[in-house]
Amino acid sequence: MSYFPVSGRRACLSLAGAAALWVTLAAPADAQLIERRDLSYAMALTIATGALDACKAMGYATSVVVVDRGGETVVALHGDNAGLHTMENARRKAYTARTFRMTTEDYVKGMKDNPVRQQQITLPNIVAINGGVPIKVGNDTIGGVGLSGSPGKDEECVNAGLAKVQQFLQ
Amino acid sequence: MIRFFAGSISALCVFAGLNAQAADPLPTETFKLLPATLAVEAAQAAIAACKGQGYNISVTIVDRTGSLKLILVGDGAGVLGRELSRRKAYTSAMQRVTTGDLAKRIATPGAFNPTLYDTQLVTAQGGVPIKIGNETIGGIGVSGAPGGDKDEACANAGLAKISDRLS
Repeated sequence: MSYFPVSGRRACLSLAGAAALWVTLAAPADAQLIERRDLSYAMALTIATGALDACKAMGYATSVVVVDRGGETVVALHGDNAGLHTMENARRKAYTARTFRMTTEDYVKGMKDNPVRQQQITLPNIVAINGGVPIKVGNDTIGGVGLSGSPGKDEECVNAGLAKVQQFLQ
Repeated sequence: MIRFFAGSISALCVFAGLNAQAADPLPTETFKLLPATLAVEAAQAAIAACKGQGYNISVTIVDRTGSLKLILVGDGAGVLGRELSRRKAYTSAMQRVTTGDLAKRIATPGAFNPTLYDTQLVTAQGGVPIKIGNETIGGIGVSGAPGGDKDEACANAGLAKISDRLS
């Protein structure tokens, strides 16, 4: 008893068909292995300390978090005297910027006219507050940075940190 | 009777007021904190020490209350270590001993076992308290090396880097 009751001839034909199908499947470029670039530890730390120092120079005690491509924390720094909530706020900003591939500032801007976005903020780890910036290589988002604790200067400080590694993000 | 109570209350108020103005104020506690710059320096040194032996690790530093000061994930460090290093740091800060010593302590028959009551505590080696003299001001946790003794050695290498400023 066979689970595949086909005659020998038909089996041969389907084998040929399968081979043909396999060739067609193998041909497209999206069946190749995907090549990706990721943040290095040294780069993530440079961004984080650069951002923290920029805000410190302005007199603001903040916390900063860098997440990787997968949205996981790779650097988290709680600045001296920064508020208790700032670490978690920074982490969510970094995650939000990473997953939506835009600054949280841009994310907030589109909120009023976008009912979907108003629902998205009910997802875990999403926060619609200015201060999160995606880390990009060309169009590829490889991580995110979030900072919290300054009065409206969060994104400016993050960008100061990102500027320190910009030459390597090409 | 009512008058008596009213009298006592106003007497208490006067006493409290006098006390607040007394030369010897209510006692307050003064303590030291690890600044972010020293935390970064120690964590970088720990990662470098393990990297030098071919191990990719994560480092977490917590303050005296057990809350996060720093997380650093080295290149190629595993996923488990991110959380485990935090719990090692937390355990060392809260219990004021290395996680290795905590494991030994609770192995003694009849000894109090805090891990039964706080599920964040771990006994895996690699957590070290950050001390100024006898005072614990935080904890550092390392995870990712093949063996808790190697984790602990890298944590100590990190602390050694900043030891001259821990006073």
